Amino acid sequence: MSQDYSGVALLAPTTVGYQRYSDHGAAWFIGRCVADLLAGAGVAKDELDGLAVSSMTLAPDSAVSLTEHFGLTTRWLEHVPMGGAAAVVSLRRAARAIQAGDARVIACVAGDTNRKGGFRDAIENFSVFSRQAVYPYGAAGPNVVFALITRAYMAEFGATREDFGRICIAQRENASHNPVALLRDPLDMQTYLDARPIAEPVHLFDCVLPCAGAEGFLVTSVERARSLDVPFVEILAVDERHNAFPEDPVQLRGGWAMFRDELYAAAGLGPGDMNFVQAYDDYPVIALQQLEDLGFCDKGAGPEFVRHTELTCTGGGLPLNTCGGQLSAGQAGFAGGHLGTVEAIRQLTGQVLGQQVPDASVGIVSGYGMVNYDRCLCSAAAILRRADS
Amino acid sequence: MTKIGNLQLLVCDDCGKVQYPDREICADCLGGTLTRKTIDNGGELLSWTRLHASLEPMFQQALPWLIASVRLSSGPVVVAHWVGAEPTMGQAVQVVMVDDPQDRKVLVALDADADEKAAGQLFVADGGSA
Ligand SMILES: [Zn+2]
Repeated sequence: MSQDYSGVALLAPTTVGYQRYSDHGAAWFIGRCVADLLAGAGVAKDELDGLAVSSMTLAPDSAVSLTEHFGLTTRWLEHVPMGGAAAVVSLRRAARAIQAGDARVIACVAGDTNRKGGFRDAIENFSVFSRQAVYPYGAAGPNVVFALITRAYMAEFGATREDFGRICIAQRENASHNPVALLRDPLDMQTYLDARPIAEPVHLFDCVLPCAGAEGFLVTSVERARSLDVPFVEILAVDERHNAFPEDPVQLRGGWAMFRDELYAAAGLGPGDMNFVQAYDDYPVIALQQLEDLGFCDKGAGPEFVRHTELTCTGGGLPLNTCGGQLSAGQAGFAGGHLGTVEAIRQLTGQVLGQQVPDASVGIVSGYGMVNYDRCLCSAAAILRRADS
Repeated sequence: MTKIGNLQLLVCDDCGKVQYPDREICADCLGGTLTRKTIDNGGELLSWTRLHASLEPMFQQALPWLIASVRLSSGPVVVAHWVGAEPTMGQAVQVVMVDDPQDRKVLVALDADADEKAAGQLFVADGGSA
């Protein structure tokens, strides 16, 4: 049994962007995010002694380069190139550093730019395996991988396009209240079904819109958070797995299924206690798999679950991706992986950009990242609770 | 018509397991010497997609384009171009290798009973995927 995560506070949920395209580099988005989250928490720049960075467009620079660029001197530094899982992984590492006294105030930030034409290069060279064994097959990157997973999931568990549509439509409703979401127009089922095919059975509204932006939050001690007099969140449990279930021929489950029982046990709570789920949603089939693997329903019962569960913020069911998720807010590169964690902190501290889930005191956020070949390898999840509740 | 080649993948010298995608270390025993060998080219179709959007002109001109994933009888899962009528989940397939227009050795999957020569038409104008 691992040591608990008590005494650690997450605060200052911060969002920069979103823009469809930008001439700024990733450093601009990350730097403006650091500035905004320091201002939001009332922390002086000199007090920041830890930094965790996730970015896919920062290369050849890394977190190291940013210390000089931003004029920061830190005693704790992490570069977390784990895409959609980086936020949960970062907060887990940062929490241990705070508990151990290795750092006092850590900024966890993900940011990316999106230059016209930059997407193709990123897709082709995402990994050695994908450059060799995926990109030559249609030159479409993750769309091919997730189309293959989506069709296999539909065949195995009887999911229909309408089931994925329910997720996309509910998240669009959530996004309609969020002024920074790039896609806010209402989406109805007929429009969803009539959308042009991208890689069958994946159609337009199953795909995220690449954009530029940044997401970040601060990690410090509960003691320091109280003295700052800003609302904060505590970590009840957090875990991660990488390359889970490699023997599965198609990824129909993620690493969450390996650790979720321990996760809930550590939190002393069950799925029924969660006031919301922020699930990584690069494609709706992955959000559906998280609902299963995080225990909200049995494996394969996800389609039935979304047919009977209201997923909007105020529907009284299980609010899913309450700011609209990447499917509606946009995917600002690796910041897409921080979106759910930042939104969870917003919901639990009453700092939402869009709609507030009524009486939200505890929620779960899960991450999923890095399609190396035919699946994503990183999965992570955290159960967070509003402090002083 | 492109020349049809046998399915040649890397095999671990130490444990004999077939490895894909190409790599330098065996995922089964961490052996560091892998040799390319002709292996059994039979397999089972795991999934497929009909692609309608691509980042490369070579595919953009030929869309829509069929792509399959196959579990080879020797173990690995491969992503491959598909030649033939719309595939069926779970069907028996064969996988061959051809050179694509960019001189990459790529995998082509087709029905187990189909004439493998069809794979040679894939990158010939109007003779490819549907
Ligand atoms: Zn071996």
